[in-house]
Amino acid sequence: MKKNSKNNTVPSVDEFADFFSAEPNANEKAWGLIHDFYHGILTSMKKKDVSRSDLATKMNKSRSAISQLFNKTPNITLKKMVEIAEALNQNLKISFEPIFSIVEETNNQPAKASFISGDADVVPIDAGDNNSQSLGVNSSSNLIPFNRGRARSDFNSSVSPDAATG
Amino acid sequence: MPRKINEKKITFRLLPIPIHYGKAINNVYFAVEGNKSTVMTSFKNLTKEDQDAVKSIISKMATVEGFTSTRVRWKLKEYGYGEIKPLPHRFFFFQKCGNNLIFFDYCLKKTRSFKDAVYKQINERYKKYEEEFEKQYGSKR
Repeated sequence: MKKNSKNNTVPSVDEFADFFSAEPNANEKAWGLIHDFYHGILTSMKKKDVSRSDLATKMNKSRSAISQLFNKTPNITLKKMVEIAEALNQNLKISFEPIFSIVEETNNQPAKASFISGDADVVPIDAGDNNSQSLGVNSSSNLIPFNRGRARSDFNSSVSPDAATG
Repeated sequence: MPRKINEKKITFRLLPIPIHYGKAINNVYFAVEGNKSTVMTSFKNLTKEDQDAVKSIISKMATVEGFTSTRVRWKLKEYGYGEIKPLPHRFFFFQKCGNNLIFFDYCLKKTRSFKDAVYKQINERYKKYEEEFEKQYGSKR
């Protein structure tokens, strides 16, 4: 075990405020999307009582291959994401929503928002039914219990099926 | 003349979560001891890519109800604290006084898990910070 302690002084108060204040960059947004994806998948697995071994069987993969899949960075391929979602009887869809530029706001203060441009979400959606285990938002705007969490990102530019390797 | 006690003052700093991450359901703090913060200093020493990964996990923990991830263990077996694992980095936190997440320690390790002795050491620090947080914020609930 190593402690990572080059300079153990407290950053200035401004730096504390800056920790989250900047609009997330593409990399952070991509991480956000992948967390949303796995949150959706893990939640669905729990609700449907599907273990990783069950998922491995459904995907015709080994248990260790599934474990590796669950530790992927945003460089996971769309194809692999679709395969995981399908093993849980879910469709993976990409949707877009506008970015709101929010100035100097936190959860304790009212937001001042301004519209900038469109962007993408990746949300898993139940393949067949509309029951409460569905995730995400489908094309007919059914709101389903999945945290959209403002996890918008430049998904199309940061992850593409041919650019990323699983 | 009474001997001076060499105890460093422990405080907790709130990390404001901007609304563009979503509505916060948990407050996020980091521990500061004697004007030093292991957590924030370690964070600052990470690469930009790793910082993005850590920020992403913490923002999800703050805004997503029941957030589940292979990179988050909300509570370790036999201990009262949890860890986030943007490997090889590990940040340790505990939940206290309702919806408060307090990050208090950091370790770097490339293998999957630590020996139990390490977790016990961290547990000692956890108990100290937890007690202090309870003192400072417990009555404000």
